[in-house]
Amino acid sequence: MVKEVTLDSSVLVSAFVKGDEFRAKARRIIEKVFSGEFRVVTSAIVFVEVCGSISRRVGADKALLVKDQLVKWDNMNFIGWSELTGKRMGEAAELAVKLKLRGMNAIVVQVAREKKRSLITFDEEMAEKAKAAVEVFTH
Amino acid sequence: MTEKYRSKVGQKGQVVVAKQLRKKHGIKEGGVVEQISTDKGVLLVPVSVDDLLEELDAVAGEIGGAWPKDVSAVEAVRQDREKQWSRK
Repeated sequence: MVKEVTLDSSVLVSAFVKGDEFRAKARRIIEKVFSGEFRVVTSAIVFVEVCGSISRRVGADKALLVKDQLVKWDNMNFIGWSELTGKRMGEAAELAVKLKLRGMNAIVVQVAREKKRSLITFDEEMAEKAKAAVEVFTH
Repeated sequence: MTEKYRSKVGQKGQVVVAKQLRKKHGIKEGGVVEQISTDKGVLLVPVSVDDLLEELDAVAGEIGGAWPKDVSAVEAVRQDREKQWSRK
């Protein structure tokens, strides 16, 4: 059975950085996405955040390779992007208030919570706060 | 010998690959095929999980080679999220 999960940017960035401390774990997660075990739905802002985070550290040319990969994964239906509507914004704000989450963390947690998906993040601080609202897996 | 099968094109260009060809070439539900435009038409080539991982690894190699050694992916995302809300 396919498991629906929400991936935090920390997992995607790690998957794209060979040598990162959690890269092996991130690669295994992406392998499960490719094999159909996981279906990913995450915030559309994660897409932008991953590209920006990588561009700031390695430059625009290399970051474009990442953007192209994410677009390919989208075309192959491996990842669905959840857009920030007014309703989602309200729910994310509630989560931010209740759980004292950072704004972007709350937006990602809201996507997981909306359809009872499991959240996968490598950020321990985010995971600790998010587990009051969703099932969370870390490294 | 070249095997030939015909199928009707459905909505949004959907076509059913003949069962015999799916079996022969390991095309399964949820799997990925690459569509290659040729002079004679569209060629479908199955893409394996290993092929997809290889592509990811190639990009990760490029990024990893240029990535600053003192920052992990988690730290990078956390730093960006902190900066988002701070004022210069």
